[in-house]
Amino acid sequence: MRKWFYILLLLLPMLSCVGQKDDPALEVRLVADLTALNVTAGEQATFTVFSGAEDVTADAEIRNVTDGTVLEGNVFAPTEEGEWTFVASIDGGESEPLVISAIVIADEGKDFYRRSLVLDFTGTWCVNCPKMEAAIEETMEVRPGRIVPVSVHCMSIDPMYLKPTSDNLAKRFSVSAYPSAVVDLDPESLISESSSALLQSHIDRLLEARGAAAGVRIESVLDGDNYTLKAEMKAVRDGDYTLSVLVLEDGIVASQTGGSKDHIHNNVLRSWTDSEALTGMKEGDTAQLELSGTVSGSIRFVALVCRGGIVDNVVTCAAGASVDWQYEEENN
Amino acid sequence: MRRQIIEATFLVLLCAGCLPAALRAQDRGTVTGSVESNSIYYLDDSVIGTPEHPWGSNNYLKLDYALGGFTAGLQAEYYPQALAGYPAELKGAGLTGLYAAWNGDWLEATAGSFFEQLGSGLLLRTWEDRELGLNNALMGGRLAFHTPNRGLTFKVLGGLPKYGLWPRKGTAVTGADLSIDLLPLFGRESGHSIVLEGSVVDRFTSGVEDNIAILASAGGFEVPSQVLSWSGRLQYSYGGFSLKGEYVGKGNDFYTEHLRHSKQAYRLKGGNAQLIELNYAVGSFSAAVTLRRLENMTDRIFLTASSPSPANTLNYLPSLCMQQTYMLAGLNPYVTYADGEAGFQGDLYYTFRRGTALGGKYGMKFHVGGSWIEALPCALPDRDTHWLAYRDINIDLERTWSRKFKTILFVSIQENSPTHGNGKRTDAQNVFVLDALYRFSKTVSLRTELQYLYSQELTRDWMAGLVELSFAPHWSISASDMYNHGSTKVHYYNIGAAYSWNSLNISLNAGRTREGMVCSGGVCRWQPAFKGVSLRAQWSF
Repeated sequence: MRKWFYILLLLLPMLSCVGQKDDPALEVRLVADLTALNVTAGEQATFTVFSGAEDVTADAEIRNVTDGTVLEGNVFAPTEEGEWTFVASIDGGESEPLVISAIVIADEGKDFYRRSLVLDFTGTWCVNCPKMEAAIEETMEVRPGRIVPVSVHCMSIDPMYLKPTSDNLAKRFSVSAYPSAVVDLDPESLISESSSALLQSHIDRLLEARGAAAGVRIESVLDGDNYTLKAEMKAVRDGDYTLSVLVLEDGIVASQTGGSKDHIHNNVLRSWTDSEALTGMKEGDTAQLELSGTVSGSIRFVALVCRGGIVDNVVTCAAGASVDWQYEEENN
Repeated sequence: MRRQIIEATFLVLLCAGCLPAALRAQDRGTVTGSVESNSIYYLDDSVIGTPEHPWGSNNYLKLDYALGGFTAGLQAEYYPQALAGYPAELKGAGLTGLYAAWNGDWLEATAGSFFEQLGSGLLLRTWEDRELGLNNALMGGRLAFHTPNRGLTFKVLGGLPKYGLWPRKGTAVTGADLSIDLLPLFGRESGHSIVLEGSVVDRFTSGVEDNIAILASAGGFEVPSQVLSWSGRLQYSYGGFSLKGEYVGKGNDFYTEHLRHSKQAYRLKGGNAQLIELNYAVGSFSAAVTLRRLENMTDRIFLTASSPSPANTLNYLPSLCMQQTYMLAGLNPYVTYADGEAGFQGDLYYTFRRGTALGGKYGMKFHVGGSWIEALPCALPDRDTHWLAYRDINIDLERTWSRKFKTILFVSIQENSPTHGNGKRTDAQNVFVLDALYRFSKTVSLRTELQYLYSQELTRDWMAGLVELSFAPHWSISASDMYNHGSTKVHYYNIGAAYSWNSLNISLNAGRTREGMVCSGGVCRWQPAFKGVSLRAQWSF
């Protein structure tokens, strides 16, 4: 009996098991590089269709449900303000609807066009993080052209973890749960509930509290794989400012807990560069920040202006593109 | 200011140390107490990261006085900067406990702060756990009446739950509990014992934070100021067999509903829980089975849309699985899914007696246990299907080979769903541990642990080792290392020394701590990674 018992013991390691994998996701997904377009700047949305992990854009049909037409190619370039719903189909499978909105932003006026920054503290390991992503997307749909999302991937096991910037930002806002989101870098807006209504309430609160915004523009130039960038801000109130440039990357395919094995990660923070403290700026003063680097992946730039540590305005543009001063449309 | 705090602390300690002897000498009751200080100095570490503050310190002072049936006491806590990973609300100094109580023949009365557990704690539990930074004691009053033979006990209680260092003003908890022992109906000689119990608890909150009001408004409802919950319980025992059954019903409360496509909605929803515990013991054999089902059983002191603190709780929902103590076995623990889960845990224990074929000269203890938990479909975005949330099998074998040598062989096979069963994917880890203790003499002993974790998921394979040399009764020194050779190639090394003298315990440790969930009693909090030197001192008198 003793012999059999010890044989049984030796066999214990054989009990070890491996985890189960998700079934391959064969659902059809429609994604766009931009979902809120600025008509004035000539922005357009480029669609990609996936069947599971495979890019099937070339063989898929992309339908504009709003006007009942089929898109030729995979680029949508609106010429007027509006909202359109698109659906992709292939081999009998159909994607979830995707809403693209377009707005007209004036290139001259009195008040600078104001956008809000939403910092999303997230991780590929975090089961609830796709929920905050969905809440931010819903907010962007409700407020086209007004939201600039930035995804801060945290924890070293995340392939998009940005060390030490992610940790420093998480410490700055005392993030202790994931997902969490912060609007306009205001610590009072830290939330862990993934709700578009909640994000919008903080956006409204900050817009009302801070009034007219500083102007901000970007000029970027591509030379092969190298880029040079100049961000400029113009103060409309006296105060202490900071001008920052962020590099984001879109379209990164990586497994997401609570999402899919081939989840597409957009707005991923790749670098964050601050200007020196711009103290004692007066109304009408301007400041610049220049940056250069090498293009890696599908990158995009964000320039943000902070007054007293809180975002005053923010703008984003693709690598090689430029965005000039933008103004709110004046009500007659 | 800091000097004044140090002087005051020193004075309190001096008085506390002298009081017991002085009072005993005059037969004016007894004073007991304890002082505990946990401090860590964090060092920069470019590999695992560095906490925000360079140091942290959690400090506790507890004094109790007893004279006959009368007791009184206080607890003070001081966090000049709480240790990394502890709830953010622990900041500064506070009087976290203050009570006076009378314990008579038929009446127990408490005024001030007190801990209470109704049933298993599913309905209400207030307790302190310093590993978690949790102390949700009620500040108010409690009266308990019981018949002389304790066959009937009736309790009423009410108070403000402590959150952080002070009672939370916006929340009040009241409750009542009745326990009836039916032993007189059967007679003691029958061997049957039946106890019937029931409780009711009301949580009143005045107002909600703006974020919650916005979410409620978006959901088209108002957050109720009162949530009434109740429970019915039965305990039965006969010989070596015992059964406990509990049903808990919870009134409508704020609920986050998970929808498809990662959407969330907010609405009012009631909750309920069922718990059955079976135990059987005869001779060298014993078995225990627990079955539990939870649906919307999160019960917070207050609702918040910000980061949830582990201390923001009014009930006890421990993980329904083995609470692991070995380093690698506790690497990725299961955390209860209070929105909705159902599962069971079972354990068998057998001791092979001395002199038997397997027991050998000194006997051998054998344990096999496991658990299986699935999320309730109603708590998942995909209502049509659900998968495994967690399961494990644990086997341990403790064998004493001689008066000097003892070993424990432990195997734990765990499979954990990162989505609480909302998908087929699971992460498995297989942990093998050999724990050996060798006594060189009556005072000198050496304990070693060799551990290996095999996994094809997450951070893949780990190995760990521990060496602990004890010089009883005062000294022990230890060194350990956890190494993730499957993925990150990071070492989590530690060295430490501990000294005990009567009721004084001091330990000094240095090394790295991994980020992850730290669990105590089945309740967990997040611990960020750090490298540092820690000093823990504890003195009871």
